[in-house]
This record gives sequence, structure tokens and C-alpha cells, in this order.
Amino acid sequence: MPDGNQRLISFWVGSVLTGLAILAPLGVNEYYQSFLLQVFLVIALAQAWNLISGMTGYVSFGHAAFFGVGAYAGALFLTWGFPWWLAIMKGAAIAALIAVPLGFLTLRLRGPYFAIAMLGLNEVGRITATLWVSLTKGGTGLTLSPTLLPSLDVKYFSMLALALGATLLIAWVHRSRFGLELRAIREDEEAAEMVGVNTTRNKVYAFVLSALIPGAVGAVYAMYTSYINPASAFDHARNIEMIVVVLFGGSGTVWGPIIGAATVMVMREMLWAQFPAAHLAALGALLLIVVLYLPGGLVSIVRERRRERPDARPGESP
Amino acid sequence: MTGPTCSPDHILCAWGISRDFGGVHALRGVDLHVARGSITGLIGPNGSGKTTLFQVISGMDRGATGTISFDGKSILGWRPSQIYQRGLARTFQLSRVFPELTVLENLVVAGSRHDRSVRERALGLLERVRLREYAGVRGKNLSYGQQKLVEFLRVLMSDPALILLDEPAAGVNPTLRQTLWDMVRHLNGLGTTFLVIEHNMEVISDLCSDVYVLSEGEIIAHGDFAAIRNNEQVLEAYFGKKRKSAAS
Repeated sequence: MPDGNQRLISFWVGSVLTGLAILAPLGVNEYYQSFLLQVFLVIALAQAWNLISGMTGYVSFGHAAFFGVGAYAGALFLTWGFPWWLAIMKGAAIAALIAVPLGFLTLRLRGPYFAIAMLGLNEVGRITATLWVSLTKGGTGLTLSPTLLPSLDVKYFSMLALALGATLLIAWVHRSRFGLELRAIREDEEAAEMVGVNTTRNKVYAFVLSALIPGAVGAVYAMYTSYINPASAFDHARNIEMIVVVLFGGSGTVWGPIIGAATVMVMREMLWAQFPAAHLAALGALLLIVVLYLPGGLVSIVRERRRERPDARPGESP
Repeated sequence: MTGPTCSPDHILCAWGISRDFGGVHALRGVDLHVARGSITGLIGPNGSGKTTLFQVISGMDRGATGTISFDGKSILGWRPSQIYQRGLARTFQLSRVFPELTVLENLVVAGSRHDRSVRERALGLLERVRLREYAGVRGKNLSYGQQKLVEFLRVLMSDPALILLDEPAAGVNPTLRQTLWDMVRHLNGLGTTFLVIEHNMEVISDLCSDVYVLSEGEIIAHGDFAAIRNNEQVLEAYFGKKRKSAAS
């Protein structure tokens, strides 16, 4: 199938899904609207993780730290009287600012060392939030007054915009020269450096972009739940969730995190209703099957057919 | 205090390059001068330090001491990407194509960010070695010889002034090998300088105007191939201690 047709299909499928997501609040009750909001949350986080880990191969076990920073920043700025949209932007900006020095420090490490450093970062965030009682109220957590909070529709559309923005960002990166260089780094960092790729600069750019999104998502999450504490903001399960969703859908691809998030969330919801006691075990077994038999994720079924053909353009990916 | 100066006739000059790994002296005060527009050979037994010297010159190993001047600039301590952008490129002893990138992507990533016709340039290079039809194939699915050839084409994407080739023909079938050497000759005719590590002495004698011999981290001989082949130190390095005459 020609490249143009593939892009057209991606565009139309994306447009239809976005249209349906925009119209959904008109046709579904608050329960399903909240469920969709959580799907968008997972998509946005998975895309952010995908940018650094899927595209460069630097597997992060600590991106929830940026989510936590964003959650606290968003909650605090809202409490201090800033409008909700500015609080979200500040959450994103603070997470990105923290990521700059962290990127320079941690991206010198490779493989498991980077993963462990990031895992430690999440713990540092959790402990700091616990101990900095004057700012965060420690383990008691921050409760946001309902009068400060935007409506569910605002939170829903904010999260949708973040999921869409993160996806478009990944799509752009994937087709760009920057994305090609990131993938070269993933394949062989030394060889990439040897053909003129400034590996440090590219990795730090990717890292900062991948921190910006969870920062904004965290701020919306704080407004959505109206309460955060160190355990919920810096929840390690969120790190696992990002990784699982991307692996399930397809690492390093644009559609992988979307397919992964939608499938995992829907399955989790269905299994939870059917098997309340064993739903996590069933989900785990299903994930194991996908990882074993489809190491490239669900999206690899299509991808394998497409990549191996003459004249594929650089940056092509489903 | 000023360091040694590199003559304008030389594109690359190295003085006193030393590199130790713990107690192992991989390079000991290596001096090397590559004339502009030449094909210079670097030979020596296995483990003599040839690849280590390439690692140091290309910036991949930044732990060496000494001085390296490339095209009038001191480059010791530079990042490999800076050295590449300055016009010095290298290939690896074992092929290092990007396995999950297509052949075309492998080439495009090595081209200039500002070159709008980088894709056409890459396709043109592939056409020249009859690999155009493999443009969309992933690097890992090529034969080893094709991978070596793609790696060679990759360094041509930046139009480098000096190319370091580390055993480019090792593991390559005779047809592709011939294609590769023909391209080296052609590019050299256009002005590109080469520094080549190669074990095939026929190739060295055929291609190289100047040859350096490295043994146990030291340059033990330098000159044209005819002079090198009869050098006692070189024969010793390759075949062991002085051969006794039949009478003794």
C-alpha cells in the first residue's frame, strides 16, 4: 500500500476517534466520561514514556516522578489562586525544568543503571513530598476545595487535549529527523555519535519533552481527584502502567500506546467486573502472552508487513 | 608553548599518542602523518593497536594522551559527532549498521541536517552499488557483506575529507569487495583521503602510497610498500623472532 494511503488512513482513523471523544460527553454518563478521562490519562503518560524509552531505548522506571511533581505543582498553584489552565501549564513547566539537570546527570547511565536511577528519582519525589510538610502537608495530603475545581467537562477535555497533543508530538517526532536520530541512538549509540548525531543533546531534548507531558497530566489528575498525597502522586504502579501499556501496544510507535492504553483499560474494566478477585492475575497472564508471542506489541502485526518493502521513507511507522 | 605543527600537505597528524588500559600499553607514543589525497595503509599483527588508534583519532576513545591535528585543528578530546561534522568519518571492524532502521534511514541519519536533498543523495549512493532495491529493507536483514557496504556508504553521506576504514573488506564476498575497492579508488581520485586498516597485503600494495606498521602499540616502520615488505622489524613482528639460517 503506498505511503500516502497509510498516512491518510491514520489521519482519518485519528480524526474519527478524536471526533467521537469530543462528542462522548453528550452521550455517556459521568461514570463512562470518567473512565474515558482515565484512558486519555494513560495514553498521554504512555506516549511520554514512549518518547524517551520507546524511541531512545532508555527505559525509565521513574516517569511517575514528573507526574507527581506536576500533580503537586498544579494543586498548589490552584490553591494559591491561579486559574486552572495556568496551574496545568506551571505543572508541566516545573516538571520540564527539573528534567533538564536530571537528564544531563542520568542519561550518562545506560541500561539497568538508568532504570534504577529513575526508580530512585520517583522515591526521592515521594519522600520529599512526605517530608516537606510546610508546602505539601506531608502524608496528610492536599485537599482541593470544590470551589476551586473546574467542571468534569473541563477536566475531561483538558486530558483529551493532553492525550491528543502527546500523540501528535510523537507522530511529529517519528517522522522528523530528530526522531530518526533518537532511533539511531536506540539501535547503537556509539555508531550514532560516529555519524554526527549529538547523542547527549538529543537524549536531553527527548527527556525534557517526555517530562513535560506527565507534569501537565499530573496537574489535571490532581484537579480530577481533588486530593493528592505522596503515595498517590508518586505511585510506582503508574510507572509499571506506562511500561505495560507501551509494551502491549507497541514500543517506539505512534499508535502502540493508544491501542495499548485502550485495550488494557477496557480489559481491566471488564475483568474487574467479571473476576473481582482474580482480575489482575488474568490481565497479567494476557500481557505475558502478548509479550511472549508479539514482542513488538499489537501494532507489530501491521508494522511487520509494512516496513519490509522497497522505498519506505525514513521515519515511516504505523 | 606551541605544539608541533602539521604541514598543509597533511590532513591528519598525530604525535606521541599513548593509551593505557590498566597495565596494558595499547599505544606507545605513536606518530602518524596522513598526506592529503593519499590512501595510507595501517597494518600490523592482531592486537597491535590499530583499531585502538582509530578509536582515539575518531574521538570514540577520549582517554589517550598526545596531540592530533585534523585539517589544521587539534581534535583530541572532541566528541565523535564533532569530529564527523568536521569531515573525518570512520567505519567499524565489525559492521555496525542500525539493525532496525531501513537501509535508506541508515544513510539519511548520517547526512547533514541542513541538506534538503539528503534522501536523493542516499538513493543515488545505493544506486551506484546496485543496492537501490534494498532501500526499504531493515539493516539486520542484509547479508554481512551488504551491511559492510551500507556502512561504507553511510560515511559518504557527509562528504568527508578523510575516511578511516577498519578492515572494510573482512567477511565481504569477492564481488562486493571489488565494488568497495573500486569506490575507494574513485573517491580518492576525487580528492578524498583514506587511512585503511587491512590484512590483505595485495590490497595494501595495490592501493596504498604510504604504509605504517604498528606492533605492540608502536610504529615500527613507515614508507612505501616495497620498503615495508623487506623491513626486518616488520617480518619479525609478523613471523616471530629472527629466522635462523638453515646452516645454523
